[in-house]
Amino acid sequence: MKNKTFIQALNKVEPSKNKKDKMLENILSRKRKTKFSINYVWKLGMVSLCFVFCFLIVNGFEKEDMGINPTSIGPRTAMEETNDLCYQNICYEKVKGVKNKEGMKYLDTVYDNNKKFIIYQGEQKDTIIVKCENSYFLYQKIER
Amino acid sequence: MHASLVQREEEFIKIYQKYVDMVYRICFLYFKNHSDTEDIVQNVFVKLFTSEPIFKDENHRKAWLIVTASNMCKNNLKHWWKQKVMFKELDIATWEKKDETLETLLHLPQKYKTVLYCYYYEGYHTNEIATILHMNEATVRSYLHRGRSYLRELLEGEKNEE
Repeated sequence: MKNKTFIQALNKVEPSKNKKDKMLENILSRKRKTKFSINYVWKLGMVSLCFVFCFLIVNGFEKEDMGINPTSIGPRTAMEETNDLCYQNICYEKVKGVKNKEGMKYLDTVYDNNKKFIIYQGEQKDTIIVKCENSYFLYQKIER
Repeated sequence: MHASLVQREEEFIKIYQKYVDMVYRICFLYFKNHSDTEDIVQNVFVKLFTSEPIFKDENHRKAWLIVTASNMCKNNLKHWWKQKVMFKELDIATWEKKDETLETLLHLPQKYKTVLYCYYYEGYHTNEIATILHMNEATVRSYLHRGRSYLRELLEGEKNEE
């Protein structure tokens, strides 16, 4: 292909005068928009909302993981006295102490009256093992 | 408006008037339709206006515009939406006189377009194209060779069909 053919073909691709003016107008108007245009503020607002939302979600999860959420245990307070407890809205009663601690599956850590309770899954589905002050106790679900 | 801003805008308008056709042609080679081409041309000039790159001379500015235009086109064509929507309708079909050579040019593979444009239309040498597009000179020469053969095949094919 010769230069001439190429140039002739491409010479036909040219925006009209009106189009050029319209494009220039658009470019200048886009340039004149300041950083604080409506579009910019809207985007900034959306991003900050997302941050707030993420912050709330993360904090919510953290609290639940640490067992600070008061609904995760109780309403009973002194577990030693009453010999039963409520965990995740299911009530359990103390059955016996546990000596064999092998193969216990960790479930959760909860705090009640500034005491730390570590909850493990029992051998049966309706049982849990609770560690409190270095002692392990088997709890069974109370059937109602 | 501040006097320096007005001055800057006037300077920009001059640059725009000088290079708009060139940028338009490069973008049209990639997009094959006027509406997308207009969008990208605007983006290229907005980038020139907002980023305010420092140019050594007029040739440097021209090279920057060529590279930015072709990069923007490539990036835009990579977008998932553009890959989904096929360009079935070419705007050239709506032109008063259909140009077969131009149509053939538009069917060239993307990578050869900028090189061929710079060589034939802008009259750059292969070493200059290599510098502008950050490519090896041998690669530029091979792209030119392949692009030419591709065009020849397409044009001869069309003639044979006739």
